Amino acid sequence: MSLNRRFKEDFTTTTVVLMSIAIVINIVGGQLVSMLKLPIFLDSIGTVLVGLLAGPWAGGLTGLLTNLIWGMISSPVAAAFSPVAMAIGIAAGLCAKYGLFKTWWLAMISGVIITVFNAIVAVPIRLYMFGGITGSGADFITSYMLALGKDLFGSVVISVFTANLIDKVITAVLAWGIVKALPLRTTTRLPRAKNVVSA
Amino acid sequence: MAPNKTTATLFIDKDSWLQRLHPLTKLSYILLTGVAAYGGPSSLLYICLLLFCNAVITASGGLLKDTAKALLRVILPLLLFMIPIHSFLFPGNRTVLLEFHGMIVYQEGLLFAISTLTKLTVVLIASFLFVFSTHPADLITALSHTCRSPSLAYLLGSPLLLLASMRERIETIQAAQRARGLDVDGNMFRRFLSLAPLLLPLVLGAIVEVEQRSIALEVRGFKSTSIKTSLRKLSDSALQRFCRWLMLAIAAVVLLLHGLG
Amino acid sequence: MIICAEDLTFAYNDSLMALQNISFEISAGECVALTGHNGSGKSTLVKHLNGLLKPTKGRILVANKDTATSRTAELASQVALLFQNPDDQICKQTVWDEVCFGPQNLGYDKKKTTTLVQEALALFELTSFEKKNPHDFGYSERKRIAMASIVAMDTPILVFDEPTAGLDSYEMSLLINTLKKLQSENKTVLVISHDMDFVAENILRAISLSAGKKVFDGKLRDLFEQTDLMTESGLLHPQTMQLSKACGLYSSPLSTDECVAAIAEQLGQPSLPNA
Repeated sequence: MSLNRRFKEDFTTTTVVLMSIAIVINIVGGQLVSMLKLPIFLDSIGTVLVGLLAGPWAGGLTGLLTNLIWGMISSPVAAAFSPVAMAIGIAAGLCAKYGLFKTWWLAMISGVIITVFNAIVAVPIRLYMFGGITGSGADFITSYMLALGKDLFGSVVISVFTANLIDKVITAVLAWGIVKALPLRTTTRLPRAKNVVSA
Repeated sequence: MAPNKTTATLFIDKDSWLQRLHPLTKLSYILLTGVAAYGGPSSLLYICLLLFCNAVITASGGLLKDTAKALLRVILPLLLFMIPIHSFLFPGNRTVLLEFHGMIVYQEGLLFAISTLTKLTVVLIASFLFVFSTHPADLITALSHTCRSPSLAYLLGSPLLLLASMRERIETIQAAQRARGLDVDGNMFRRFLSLAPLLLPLVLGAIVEVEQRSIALEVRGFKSTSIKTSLRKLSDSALQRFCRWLMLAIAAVVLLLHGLG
Repeated sequence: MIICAEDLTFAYNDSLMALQNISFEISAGECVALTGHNGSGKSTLVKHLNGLLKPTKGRILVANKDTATSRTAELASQVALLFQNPDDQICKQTVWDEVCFGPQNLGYDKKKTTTLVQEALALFELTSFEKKNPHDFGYSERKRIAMASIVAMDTPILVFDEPTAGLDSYEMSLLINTLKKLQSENKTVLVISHDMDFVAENILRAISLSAGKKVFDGKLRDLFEQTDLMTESGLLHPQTMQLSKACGLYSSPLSTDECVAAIAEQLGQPSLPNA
């Protein structure tokens, strides 16, 4: 089966348009937090939204493409982390599928689950490609853990987890709020929205 | 990060052989370089050889200066963190290299940092080579031709077109909400609270528009199976196609050997 | 003077002067139309009223406070500003919560907020929709919701950017009633509009901008007399004036009533039978 055929069956035009907008939302989310001077990334809100509204595969692809485009227009380093963005979308989609986005506190739990998925994929990339250090604020946590005598793997796991926890929980709750606020005529067009807003 | 804000890409418009190469050839080259750097022998000499090869290719395409500048911006912060952290704290540290007021620089950590940085530099050079010499439109054309998927072309292309208007819109939304008394420069807690009133108008508006956008696409024959005419012509050749397969094959072999060894 | 601009100049960058040496005064309770073609600097000017933009040179005083040294979050209690596109501000799940947003940000207590929101919803006939999602409605209803959310802030100064765009004639009458009510409460109102029929019938004073400069400040009737200025500002005369001109009448009526009176006078009758 050619990629095109598979695309056609899994992704309706509505899903494709939703994904393209989500990619832009991911990129603009970073602009928003720097405008507000907040210590989070908010660069996966679109990915999580697609996960909720169109399922894990569409969510994963949205994350992957966001980082590839980010790599083209800003810095190739982002492209190296595209598998991480993909894991976030898949995790969000799976959480929604199993009803973990029904209320705001379930959404918070989903945020934690997404952080775990994020760490599982991000840690090997950080470790093997970057030697555990990426030139960001998380490096302080890593070096603190190393100074306490932890091994490199353990230190990177802890720093990736803590640096992402608040960001992913906020992202998950915001995404839940957005889907809740969508008008009826839109949610009826996006069949998976009912996983979040129990009709 | 982007040196040219107006076009929102890193592409540098020059006419060199690198610019004329098919995007997929260059993508295969990045893959090969990555595999060679991380899956090959870990001796520093070998990595430096790779570094040299990449530098020569960059220079021959006339991109040495731009690549060096971009590289410095990425590598410098990494270097500043990595060298001290690993020379002081790397868990495998045994051999003392220097002692200075109680701070001990170890040989193992320093070597680990240097070897990681050089590997990363090699891959980054290859990647910068790609983004500097490939117009995003060419990449989109190449990918959508290969996958025969209009959806993929749309997913890669339309965000670049939408980005400028969305960036502008977030400024307008910010102004509109501040005019209604939203405090966007108060303490951290208030700033967190103002996240939702800024994000929701942007996202809701965009998602509600999805329906109209997709109808507009479908009435223009977006998903028709007939072959689309493309405005951009990409030059490809039998030699390039052969090189692509060769590079992929070498990469696979290196990976296999790495897995076995 | 509730608003006082002195030599106000604003440049986005060195080459792009958006406003040049603009001075004017507006007293409390006045209703002023701000006119001029697209890009003449109207929106840039009103963004100075609540400190969204700070002057490059000169200053603007709102209720005797220099806006350059005050925070927007504080100035919002003086000036409420309605943006053109309602979708740039709607962020709540119900019409009620959306209209509450401004008053709550200004720190009004629960009782005052409830009263203000109820009044504003009633003015735009939204009371029966208050539990609904704003995005379940069409554009013109969302525009009414946005207007109500501005009016509910109960500020001494209100600015409306193109309020009539997208409204039908009935919704227009709701807007006109609101303007009358605001006037009766001695509120100062600024209206940016291209809609000369609406402006001519409801507003007496106009300030006109062209390429970032003030080209007119005075009675709206006098602006309509200056044909070259009208052309320069890209404005059309209201239909009443176009009609009277086409009929060869001497007066320049600004409203339907004035137009009817002028035709009656021309016919030598005290009034028209069906007017």
